[in-house]
Amino acid sequence: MVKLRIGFFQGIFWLVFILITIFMVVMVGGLLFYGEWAAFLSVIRNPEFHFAVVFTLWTSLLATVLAAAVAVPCGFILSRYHFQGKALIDALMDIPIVLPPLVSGLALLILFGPVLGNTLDRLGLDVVFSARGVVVAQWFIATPFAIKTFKQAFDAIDPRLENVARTLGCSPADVFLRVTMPLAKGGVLGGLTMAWARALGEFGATAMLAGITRMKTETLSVAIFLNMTIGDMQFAIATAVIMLLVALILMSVFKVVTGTGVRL
Amino acid sequence: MKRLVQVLATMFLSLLMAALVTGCGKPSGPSAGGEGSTSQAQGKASLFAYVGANLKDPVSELAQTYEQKTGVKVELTFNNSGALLNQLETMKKGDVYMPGGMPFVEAAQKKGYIEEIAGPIAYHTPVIVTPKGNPAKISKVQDLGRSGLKLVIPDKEATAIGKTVFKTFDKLGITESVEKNSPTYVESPAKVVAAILMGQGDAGIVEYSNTYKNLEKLDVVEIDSAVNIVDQIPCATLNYSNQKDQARDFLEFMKKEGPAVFEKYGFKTKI
Repeated sequence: MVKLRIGFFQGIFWLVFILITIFMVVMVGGLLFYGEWAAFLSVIRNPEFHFAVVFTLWTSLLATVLAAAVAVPCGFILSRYHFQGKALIDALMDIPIVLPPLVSGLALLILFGPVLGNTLDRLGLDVVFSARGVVVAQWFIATPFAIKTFKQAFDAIDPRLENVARTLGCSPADVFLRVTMPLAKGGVLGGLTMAWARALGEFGATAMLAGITRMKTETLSVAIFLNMTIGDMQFAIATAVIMLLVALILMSVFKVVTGTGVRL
Repeated sequence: MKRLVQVLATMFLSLLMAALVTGCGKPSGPSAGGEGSTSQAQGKASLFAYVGANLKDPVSELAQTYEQKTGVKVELTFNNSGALLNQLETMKKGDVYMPGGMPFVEAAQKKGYIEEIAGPIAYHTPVIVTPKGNPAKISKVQDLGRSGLKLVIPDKEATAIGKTVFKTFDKLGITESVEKNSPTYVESPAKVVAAILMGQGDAGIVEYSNTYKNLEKLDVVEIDSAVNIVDQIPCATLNYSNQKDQARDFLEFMKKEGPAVFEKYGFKTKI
């Protein structure tokens, strides 16, 4: 434990921090308060809900893994190399952050429908209106967050350490695996958390690309949408609360285990 | 401590890999939960329908009944009528289009997507909802133009009900004042209900069927039938369908069985 000696300046920081914490707690509390226990229990017993939980977990994890697979090389290149038009490409990779998810979804729909649809159909890898579409949409939305955080993690490493490793006879791959990655671990894990969190809550792009089909492309956010549309507020709130708790628990465990906070 | 972190990180990564492998090994299309086995397995191709989100309950039930009767699965994707039209326009595939109102089917027909229209399966009827007790004392649709009200109205472009009700506003010449009273438009009538329940407005416009679940928390003010425009809820087959006979068969089924089920879920099926 660090002993806290609070001066005026830190006092202001603490005040803001505490206020925001209270705001978050009250917000979550409001959701809990507005829900009814009976609805809560019936949601937990609902097979549609079970499907949505399992489906959301595996799609978002898969999307996170794929996002990481893309973000490690991209983040590394953006961090270590300078080339013509780098700023533009960097900005291009941020597009999914800037675009409304609905627009992202529409862009993906055009890409995987009219443009690539027939080819993918022949390969039996249809993306549109399928579970695969959900993963693709989540991956698309989550990847820029991973790229950004990974790039920052690589930026923070002193390149001289890598050079020293090279002079000691490591191959570039060796250097990356034994020096760069261990040093960037904190940032990378933080980035993974961010990407996963983003994939977990993804709705707009998913709805457009994968469609909203019960028990097929039904993630938790889709389930909430569906129950809102038929005026079943209680089911929607109960689902939202459970989703919130699951996310909170998983994130906390992950942060404690890896000793990372999310850094952005 | 460091060892522990390493061990845990390894465990986490292997878990991710496992997810990756199982995820990749999933059969195409429906996954997990064993629900909705692939259509090939049944030897009958499934139909794909774009359905207005507001019609979720009756259409879900009808699709289930149809599957039990014929063995043909009807896959439903829900969204607001406008978004569905975008999806269908982009994808150029699917068998059935069932938006919340006629204008959307007509728009699709103009573009040459529609093969056959059946209907009306039911009617969609705009009604005014207010918080319990009607604190703003709204008794007729003209009152919505009163200054100082806060209204929650479904979007006039994207939702069928919004499209219809704005025609009524135009007819009465209160569009401008209604727009002044509407700080926001929402993407479905259900959102209107949610907003009114949470005390976010003095009144809103929804479809008649949106109210039946929340009658104890809302007041319903019917719009005078002399000015109210009631729209048909049609069901149409698409030109893109590669199983038109099956799609037409579903349409026949909807015509025959649809109205009774829609009525059960609070829709009006007679004018």
